[in-house]
Amino acid sequence: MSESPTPASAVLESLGQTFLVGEEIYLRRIEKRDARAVMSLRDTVWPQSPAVAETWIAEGLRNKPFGVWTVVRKADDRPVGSMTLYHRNIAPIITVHIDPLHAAAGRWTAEVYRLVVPWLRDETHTVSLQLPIAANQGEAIAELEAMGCICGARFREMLRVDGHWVDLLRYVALHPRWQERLGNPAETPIARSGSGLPQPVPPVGKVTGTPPKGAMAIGERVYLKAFDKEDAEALSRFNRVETETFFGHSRILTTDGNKVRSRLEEPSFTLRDYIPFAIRRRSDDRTIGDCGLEGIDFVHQSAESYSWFFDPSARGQGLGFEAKHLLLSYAFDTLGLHSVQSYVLEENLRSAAALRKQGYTEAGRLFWKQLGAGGFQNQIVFDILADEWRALPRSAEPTSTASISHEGA
Amino acid sequence: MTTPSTESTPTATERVPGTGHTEQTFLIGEHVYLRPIAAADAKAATAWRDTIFPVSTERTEDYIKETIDKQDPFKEITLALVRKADDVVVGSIHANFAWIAADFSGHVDPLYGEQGQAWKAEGIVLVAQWVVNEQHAISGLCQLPASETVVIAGLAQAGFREVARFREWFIRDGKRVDKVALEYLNASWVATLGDPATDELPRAGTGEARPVPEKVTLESDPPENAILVGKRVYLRPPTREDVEEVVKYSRRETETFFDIGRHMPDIEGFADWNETSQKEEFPRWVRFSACLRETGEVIGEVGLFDVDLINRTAESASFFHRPEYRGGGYGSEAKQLMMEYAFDRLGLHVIQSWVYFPNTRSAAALRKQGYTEAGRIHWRFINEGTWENFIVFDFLASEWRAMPRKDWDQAAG
Repeated sequence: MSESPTPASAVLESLGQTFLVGEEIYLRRIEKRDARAVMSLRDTVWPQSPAVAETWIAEGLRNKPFGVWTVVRKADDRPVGSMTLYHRNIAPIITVHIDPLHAAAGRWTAEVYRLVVPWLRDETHTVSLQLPIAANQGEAIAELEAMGCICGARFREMLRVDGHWVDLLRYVALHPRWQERLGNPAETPIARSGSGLPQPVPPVGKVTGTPPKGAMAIGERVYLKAFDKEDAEALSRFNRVETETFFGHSRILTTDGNKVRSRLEEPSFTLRDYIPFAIRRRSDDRTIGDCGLEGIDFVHQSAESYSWFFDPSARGQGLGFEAKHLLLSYAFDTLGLHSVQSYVLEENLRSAAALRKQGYTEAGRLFWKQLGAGGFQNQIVFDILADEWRALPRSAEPTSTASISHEGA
Repeated sequence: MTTPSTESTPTATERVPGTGHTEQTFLIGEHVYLRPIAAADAKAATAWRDTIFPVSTERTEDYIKETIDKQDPFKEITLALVRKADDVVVGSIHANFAWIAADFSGHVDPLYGEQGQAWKAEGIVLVAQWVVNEQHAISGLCQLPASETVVIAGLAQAGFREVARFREWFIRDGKRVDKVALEYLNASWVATLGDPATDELPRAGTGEARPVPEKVTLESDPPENAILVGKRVYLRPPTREDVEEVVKYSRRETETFFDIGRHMPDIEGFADWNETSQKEEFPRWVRFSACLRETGEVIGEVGLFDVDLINRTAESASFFHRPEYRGGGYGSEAKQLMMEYAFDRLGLHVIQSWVYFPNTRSAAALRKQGYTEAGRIHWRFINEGTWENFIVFDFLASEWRAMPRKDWDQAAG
C-alpha cells in the first residue's frame, strides 16, 4: 500500500472533535470501517483479512475488560494505529501501537501519549495510569518524561523487535492530588528480607518404578502435574483455612467449581497463553499448591510465573523452591522461553525473598497498583533470563533416590 | 478408585453436626459461619436463594454451575450462611466488589423470623469486615427493607450507618416499606481522608418543582415509531443510527462534569446493549431516544434501569448529547414523558436517581422535575485525588400525580 495523498473527498472528521485531537493525529473509538486498516491497527505478527477483523471489531471486542481506540491521521482520516485501554481497578494500563511502516510512527506514538495521559490523569482523574513501553521508543519516552511520568521498572529483553531483544519499561502517571496527599511512592525505599543471594538449583528427582500419575516434572520432594478437578477441590479446601493475608489478595474463598474452571478452561494440546500445574508432595501424594505460567507470548518468548502454596503446613521447607525450578526448567528448556517475569506485592517480603533465592533479579516497582489500607499498594517486579537460569550453580545429584509407586496409576 | 485421595476432611454426610466451622479459619461468627456454596447445597435452595419463585433442586444445580462457579472470587461471591450449631444452611450472603467500593446483600429463609434476621446481620457484618478491612474496599453498602429492624440494628452496632432512605421501596407482607441504605466505610481511609459525611453538598437552582406539562393530544399522525409524544419532544425506541449519533457527539463534548471527564462510548457495545434489552420479555433496562417533533432529530436518551416489576421500582437516567438542547427545558419534557411511562404505563410505585456530587446541574433538574432528596451515599468512585459521593433522590408515583399540570411556555427553561 502506498501513502495516499489527501483525497478530495476527505471527511476531515476531527474538525468538530473537542478532545484527543493533536497536531497530526487524533483518537476515536474503533469502528467496523477500520477493519480495512487492520494491519495498521493491530500489534500482531499474524496476517489478518479485513473480513476477519470486522468480526473482531463487531463481536470480539464486546464485554471485554479493555477498549480499543483508533489512532487516525488528521490530514486524511487514515487509521495509522491504535491505543488500548485496559481497565484495572485504580491502575488502568494503556498500550499504543502505531504501524511501524509509517516513517512518522515514533512521532505519532509520542503524540498519542501527549493526548491520552492528560485526558486520563487530569480530566478523568485516574489514580495511577500504567504505561508499559518498549525501550526503543525514544520520542515517546521523552514525551512521558516531559509530562512528569515516572519509570518504575525495566524488564530486560522482554520484547523481540526486528531481530533484537528490547527491554520493556514501566512508566506510570500518578495523579498529582493523590501524590500531594500520600507522597511520591518512588521516594520510599524498598523493604527487603533474606540474603538476596541465589541458591543452587536442586537436582531433578529420580524415579524408580512407576512415576506418579500425570507427573510432568519431578523433583526430589515435589512433582508438577496437569491440574485436575481433584487438585482444585484440595486447593479450595485450603483456601478456607488460610491465616495469612499479605500474599497479595487477602484471603479468598472459591467453590470447587470455580477453582476448576479458572484452572481448566484453557484448551489442551495447543499453544496457549496460560499453563497451570498442580504441585504435589511426593511423600504423601497430596496437592499442596499450584504454579504456572501466564501471559505466555510465544513470539516474544516471555511469560509471567506464579506459584501459590495453599497448604500452610507445606510452607517454609523449600518445597516452593524446588517446584519453582521445575517450572523454570519447563519454561526455558521445554517451551524455549527467553525471559520470565514475576510480580509480588511490595509488602509481601517473603515471596520477594523467595524469588531472589530462586535467581530472579529485581526489575523495579509498579506504583499504586491496588487499594491498600488508607493508601495504595505497589508491586515489586522481577525477571530472569534463560541464560541466567542456565548459569545458576547446580546442587549435586542426590545420594539416594527413594522409589515411589502408585498402584494402578 | 485406586488413585490416592486428596480428601482431607470428612464429607458432609460423615461430619459430626456442629463441627463444620472448624474446617476454616475465617468468616466464623458467634452463631453462623460463611463458606463457599457446594453442589450439595442445591437441595437447600429454598433457604439460600433470594427469590420469591419456587426453584427446583435441578435448576439450582445448574445455577451453581452456571452462575456461582463462574463468579470471579476477587470481585463477586455468594456464600452459604450456615448455622454453627448443626451446619444447616439457613441463607446466603452476597458481596460484590467489582471496583473500589462493595455492595452486600443477604437472604435468610424468612420462615426463621427474627432469629433469621440476627443471622443475616451476623453474616453481612462478617463479609463486610472481610471485604472492607482485609480486601481494602473503600466502602461497603447494604440496602435493606426498613422492616428488617433486627438486621438494621445488628449492622448499626457493627459500625454501619444509615445514610439514605428511599421511601416505600419494597413490598413486604403486603405492605410498602422504605429501603434503608447503610454504609460501612473503611476506617483506614477515613483516617487518611476524613469522614465524608461532613463533605458539603454543592447545590444549584431554586430546588422548587415546576408543574408537569399537560398531556398532548395529537391532531396529526404521531411521529414514526413514537411511544410517548409531548409538545416539542417525543420518545421512541433507540436504533443503531441513534447510537452512532450519540457517539459522534461524544467526540464533540465540551463539558467534563457529567461523568468525571469526557468519554467516548463504543458503537458496537452500545448498540448491542440496546438490542439485548429490547429482546427480553421483561427487560430490566428500558431505553428511549428523545427526539424533536419538529425535525425528528435525536437530542438525547432517557431510560429506566433495574426495572423491578414485583416491588414496582426502577432507577431513572437521562443524557442529552446535543449541547444546543441542554438547558431549554427539552430534557425535562422528555423526562416527564418517561415519568408518564414509568408511573402510568408500567405502573411503577417509586423511582430513584443517583447523581455525582459535582454534577449540580443534573441534581437541580431532578428537583425541578419533582424528585425528593433521599440522602447521600459516600465513596463510590474516584474524582480529583479523593473518593467522591452520590446525592440520591426518590420520586413516588402519587407525588408525580399530585403535581400541578400546566402547559409549558416554549421559552421557559
